[in-house]
Amino acid sequence: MIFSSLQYLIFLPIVVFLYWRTTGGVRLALVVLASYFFYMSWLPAYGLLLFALTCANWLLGLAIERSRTAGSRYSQVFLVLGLILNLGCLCYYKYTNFFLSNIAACLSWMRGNAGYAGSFIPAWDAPVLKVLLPLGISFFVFEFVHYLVDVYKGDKPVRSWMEFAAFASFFPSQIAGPIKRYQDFLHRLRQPERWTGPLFYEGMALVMQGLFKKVAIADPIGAIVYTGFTCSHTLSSADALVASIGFVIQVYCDFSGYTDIGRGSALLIGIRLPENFQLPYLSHDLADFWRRWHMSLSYWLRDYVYIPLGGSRGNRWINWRNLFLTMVACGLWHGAAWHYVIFGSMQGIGLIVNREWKNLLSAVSPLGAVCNTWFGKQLGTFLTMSFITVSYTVFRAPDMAHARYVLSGLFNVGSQCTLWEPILKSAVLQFLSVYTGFWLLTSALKAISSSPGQSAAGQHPGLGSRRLPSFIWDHRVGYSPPVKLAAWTAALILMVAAKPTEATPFVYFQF
Amino acid sequence: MVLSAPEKKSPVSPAAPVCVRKPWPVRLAPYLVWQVIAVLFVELVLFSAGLGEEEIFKLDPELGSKHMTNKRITWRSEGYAQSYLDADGMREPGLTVAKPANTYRVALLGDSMVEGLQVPIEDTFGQILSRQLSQPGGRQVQVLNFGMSGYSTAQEYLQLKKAVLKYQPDLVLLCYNSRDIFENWSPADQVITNVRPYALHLPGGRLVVGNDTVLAWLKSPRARLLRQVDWLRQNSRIWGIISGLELEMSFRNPVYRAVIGFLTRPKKAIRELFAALKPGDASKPAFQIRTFESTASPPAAGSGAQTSGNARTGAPVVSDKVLSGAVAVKPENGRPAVRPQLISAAPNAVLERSPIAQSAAGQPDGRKTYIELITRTLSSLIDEMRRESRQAGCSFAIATLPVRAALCPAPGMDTAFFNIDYPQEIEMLSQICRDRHIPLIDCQKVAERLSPRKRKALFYTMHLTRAGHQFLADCLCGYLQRQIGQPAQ
Repeated sequence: MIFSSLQYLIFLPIVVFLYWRTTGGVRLALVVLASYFFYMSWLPAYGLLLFALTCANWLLGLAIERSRTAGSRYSQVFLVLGLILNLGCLCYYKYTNFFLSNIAACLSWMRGNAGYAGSFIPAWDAPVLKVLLPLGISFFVFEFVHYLVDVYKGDKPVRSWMEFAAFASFFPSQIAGPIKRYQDFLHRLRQPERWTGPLFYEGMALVMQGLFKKVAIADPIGAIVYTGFTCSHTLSSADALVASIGFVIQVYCDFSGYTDIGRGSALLIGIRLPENFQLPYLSHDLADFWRRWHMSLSYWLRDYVYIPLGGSRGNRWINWRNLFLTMVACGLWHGAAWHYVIFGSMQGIGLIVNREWKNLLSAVSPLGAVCNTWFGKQLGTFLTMSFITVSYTVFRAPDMAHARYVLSGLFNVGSQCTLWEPILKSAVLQFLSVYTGFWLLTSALKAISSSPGQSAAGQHPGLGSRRLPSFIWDHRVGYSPPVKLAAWTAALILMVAAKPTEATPFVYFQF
Repeated sequence: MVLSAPEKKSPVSPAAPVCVRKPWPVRLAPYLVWQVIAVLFVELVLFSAGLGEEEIFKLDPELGSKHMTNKRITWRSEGYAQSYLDADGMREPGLTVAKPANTYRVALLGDSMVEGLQVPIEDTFGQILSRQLSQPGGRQVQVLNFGMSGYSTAQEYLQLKKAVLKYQPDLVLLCYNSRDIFENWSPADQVITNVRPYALHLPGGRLVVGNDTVLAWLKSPRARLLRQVDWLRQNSRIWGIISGLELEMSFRNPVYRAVIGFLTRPKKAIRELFAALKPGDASKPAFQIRTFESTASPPAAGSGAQTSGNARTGAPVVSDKVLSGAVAVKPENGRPAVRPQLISAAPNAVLERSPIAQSAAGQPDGRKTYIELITRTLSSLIDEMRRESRQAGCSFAIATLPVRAALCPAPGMDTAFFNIDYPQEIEMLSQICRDRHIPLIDCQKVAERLSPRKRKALFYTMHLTRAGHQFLADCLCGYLQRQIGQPAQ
């Protein structure tokens, strides 16, 4: 089941209701059962893989801790075993076909270009592994790796299997993140927030916001983007712009929408998941972008790839190498294809350039001052987003040939725009306007309500409850409940209006 | 005294507000006000986006359904087009009932293929013909589109008398679509465009065209609901969205169907659940349409178990990966769940009263009887239409429309009904026309000569694209050119 399906709209209230009616071990069992039900609703066999990996990692965690406290070197062996198991699973399901096909392509190339020696190279057709990628494997494998490494480094392992199973299979974050940290998650699982009005409103607001982004914006844009990216010829500049910028909007609304629904669902059962996005498209530079985009992945890569590689220690070349390799890993994590590798490489090079540019700015202070002006920051945002748009085009295209059609299309000025009718048909401009308007209004109201010096004699410092009328703004929940309910009504109807004929899976499902 | 001390009223501190619970209407009022604001806001957004404008048919006791009036349409399910239905439910802009001088009028009768909501009105074949045939500064040709989704020949006959002849056409062109022959006596279901009057011509009797089926349906709860919310259907885009969703989910979402089933008819839902759990015959189709309710009626004896995947009366979801980009497409309208009690007692009663029906009940070849019956009915309807046209002083002709199921069927698309495919239907129609010397323009035959790629380009999922309308205009242009130069037959 996906978050934007009717099944989930039935499933979630039942789970929330039962969760708050139970306590202790029963509640924990409910979370695990609900998570497995959610996960196995696609393909029950997937649940077995998750269960097996959960058991193995739980045992490995305990074994690592035991060896570590006993001073044995076996802890390292257990860690390596765990990494091989987890990453091996990921590689088997995700990268086997990619590697085999590339080996076959290399052999074929060598046979054709190695002259006489080439005749000794046997002809080999790569076998194709016909296996479905288990949903969310990249996410839960990364969580397992984080768990084992942290336990190896000295953190306490999870002694309760049920708690560990809840961490590994937690349905709001199971399929597309955020990538949780077990220390934080277990703390919240053991001490969930109390069921209160503000908690309900906050959770529901996140769910509705996420649904709107997914259903009313990402899906309709997706249909337009699909048309653009499956063209087998060079697009016109208008079409290429629509397709590439459309995907930038789609992937954000899709992924952050999913995260919002997940975070909102978790909040409804009193568990606060980490944020994954902080307005990334307003970043002033690329490093800032990666601190605000898919934050849980960025931090994971920082902690478990970049820093173990050496981080920013060492000379400039090593620093560059570490950045580059980390981002190539990031690209490869997204999928087993060369265009993902190229996407990661572009990000790596971009981050290296960004770092050197920052070094230059700190060395030449007048230049730094210019860049710190409002205009300089906006220019930075524009350049960053231009780079992101181009790199996302490579990311979205089914292969490099299609990426070339779209990218070369950006310069194909004068040709007719064929995507205008799909845009009108999808009515996505209206939905984008509604969402942007609502977001701007909310931001403005928040700014007004949190402006200093207007609070009521220090009772609610900074909340400014006196400034906005209570029938619009409530200092505890933001918009007052009547406004929230009205906004949800409007959002629901607009979602139904925007809904395409088929519910489309989230973009990040495939990762 | 110590005990009396608490009773002593102390002055209330201004810093400690007294919490007085407001009465519930006062507490409820802001919720209602904001909900109304939200609804109005959504209506505004939907209006600007042209969403929720698919509710375009209203109930008509005589015709079953017909276009609403003074309403904007934005069609999205196949193609994309915006149109406006005028005070008479017509799409042609600036159309007057009175025929202008020096003008030749052609009235197109047909179903949704003629209606052509999928393309702008100027791209429909009628308007293309108008442009092609009109002479600058000379004789003008107006081709009026009376196409109406789901219309059967019986409805077109009634429409001709009621709504078409007042426009004083010089030529009435009946556009025949696949399965029209079967729709003259078809069961009603939940979809408004599937509520049709019936026509029946029994051997030894005369043609009966009646609206008992429609009147029976109008007494159903759904019809009552639709009439109660008539204003909303006409004016509210939110209603359009919700009704569209309800229809779609009732087709495609098993969870929704199960929930609604358990809420409305729990016993029946449980029975159906158990029935579904029993191992069934995989060769049987997913649903059945009972064409005849009464076992006493002759066709029921031999063909009561006949099934169909008629798109209008309840086709399964057609997954058309060819044209719609791997998106499953719902049928044009219709719904698998037929309600036998609404099939109309009238045709059965007519049938049962007929002596031939009594004797035919025992015939082994009930299918043959049925085919003869519907063919006779169709030919009588055509006779009547020609007679009405002649009386009004206009010519009458028939054109067959290109049909995707017969030209380039998508996976899962039914190509035959009652084991009769479209070419066979056309053959039956040709025989009727030959016997009566009625001109027949066979556009399907012309389309069969196109390459597979060009055939596909004629259609969206089922209806005609711009290229399809252009093709049809090209097919009809020659005949109309000749016709315009001749006096009425």
